[in-house]
Amino acid sequence: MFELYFGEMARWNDGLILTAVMSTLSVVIGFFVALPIALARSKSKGIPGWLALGYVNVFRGVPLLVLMFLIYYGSGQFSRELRSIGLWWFFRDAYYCGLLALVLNTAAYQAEIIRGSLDTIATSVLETNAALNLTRWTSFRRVLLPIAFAKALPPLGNEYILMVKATSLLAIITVFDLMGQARMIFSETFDLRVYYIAAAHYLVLVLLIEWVLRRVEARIKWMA
Amino acid sequence: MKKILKISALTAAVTMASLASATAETLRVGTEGAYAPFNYVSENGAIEGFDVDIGNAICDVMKVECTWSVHDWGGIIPALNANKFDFMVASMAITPTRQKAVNFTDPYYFNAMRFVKLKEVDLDDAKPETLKGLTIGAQQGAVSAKVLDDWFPDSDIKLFPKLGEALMDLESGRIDLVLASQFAIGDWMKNGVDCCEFVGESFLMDGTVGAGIAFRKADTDLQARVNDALRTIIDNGTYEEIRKSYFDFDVMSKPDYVSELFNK
Repeated sequence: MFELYFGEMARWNDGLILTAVMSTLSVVIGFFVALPIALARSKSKGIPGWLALGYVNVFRGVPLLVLMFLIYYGSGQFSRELRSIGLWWFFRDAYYCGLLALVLNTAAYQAEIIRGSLDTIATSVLETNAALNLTRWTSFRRVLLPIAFAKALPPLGNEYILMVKATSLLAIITVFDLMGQARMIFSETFDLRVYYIAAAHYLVLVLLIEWVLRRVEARIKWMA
Repeated sequence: MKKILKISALTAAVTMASLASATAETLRVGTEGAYAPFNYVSENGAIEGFDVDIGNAICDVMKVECTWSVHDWGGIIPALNANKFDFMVASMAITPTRQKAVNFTDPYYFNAMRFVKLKEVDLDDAKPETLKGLTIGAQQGAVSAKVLDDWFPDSDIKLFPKLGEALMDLESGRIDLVLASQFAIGDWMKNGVDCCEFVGESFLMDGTVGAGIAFRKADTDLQARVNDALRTIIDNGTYEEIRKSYFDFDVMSKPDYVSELFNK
């Protein structure tokens, strides 16, 4: 067991860093993508509302595995067209393709989480904002958004942890996260204990994330 | 009394049935199903290829019924050891590491590997020095991945779950070369692909002695029976017939080893 870890330490570290970076980046970028979608879902009854609903339905409906495959190998089929419009540098890179798939997926889930918490804010808060003569934008940015964020933090943390595990799908498009490295070491040693080490890595990573989230939650609990 | 009669009739029927099945032995054969022309799933869902024809010829000699199933390459040895099937005909190269996990028959052909490159990549030869800085694709868990790891430290190596995916990425220009079985690449190029061409010599990984049929460590009896049957089909010309329907050249003579090629 120890030789499987220490003998392959460089690979385990590569995998761990990749998993941590890809999941964190996708959750953070996904959050900013999700904000306007959540706002449109919550406040708009017109076309933006329908578009936002369409986005959420499509990207929650398509499995992440399929999405990744379509973006990576699908874009490869149109490499000539993508080159001519100057987008190939993005789609050529497996990391960008993987990140795009993760962001599109998590943004759909995060949008629903944020919409949910926006909808639970009492109308009295809106009335107070109006009484204070805040513009709609200021009211959203300075009051509604912080409250919604504080309320949404526990489910968002849940989404973060789910994304840590979702990165294991990246191995199908040649990006080797923890699980990809584990499978590679396994294919050379045929030793099933490799997966115990992978599981321990995930557990440590998730516990670390939980610990950080708990501290942040404790700080902003008063807002929710 | 009636009840006892019924039960004894039932027991007799069950015994008869199990006797009948014992006479027509059924063996389960595993393969990958994504490695044309050796083993692949055809358009109508049948498992076909050189490996499958060889396997069926062996089953005919052994007078057993064989059923085929496909398994993911990365987990095919554990699947064999977990008793998902009885033996494996999957073009698996015999290596010392794999021999620690399973037993092999004598080799049934030599599966040499060779580089294939994009036509626009300007190369006359494929050596560690000339491929410096280029991106090379291979199948995860395949011997070509090990060769790249050991001999091409200055190239960027990308590993794919299936060979077809590496070739797709070569065609789209994400990678410059692919190292894989020359037969599998040749088969792919036959299907109207004009992006790419072979470069350099074909070679074998050191320590590999060709592709073998794999068994669980405990199944030495079955291994001996299959090995005998393999020798029979080689001797009686069945092997040669199957070989001719797939390749118009000899697949039983040994190519150079990597070290013989690159250590000069």
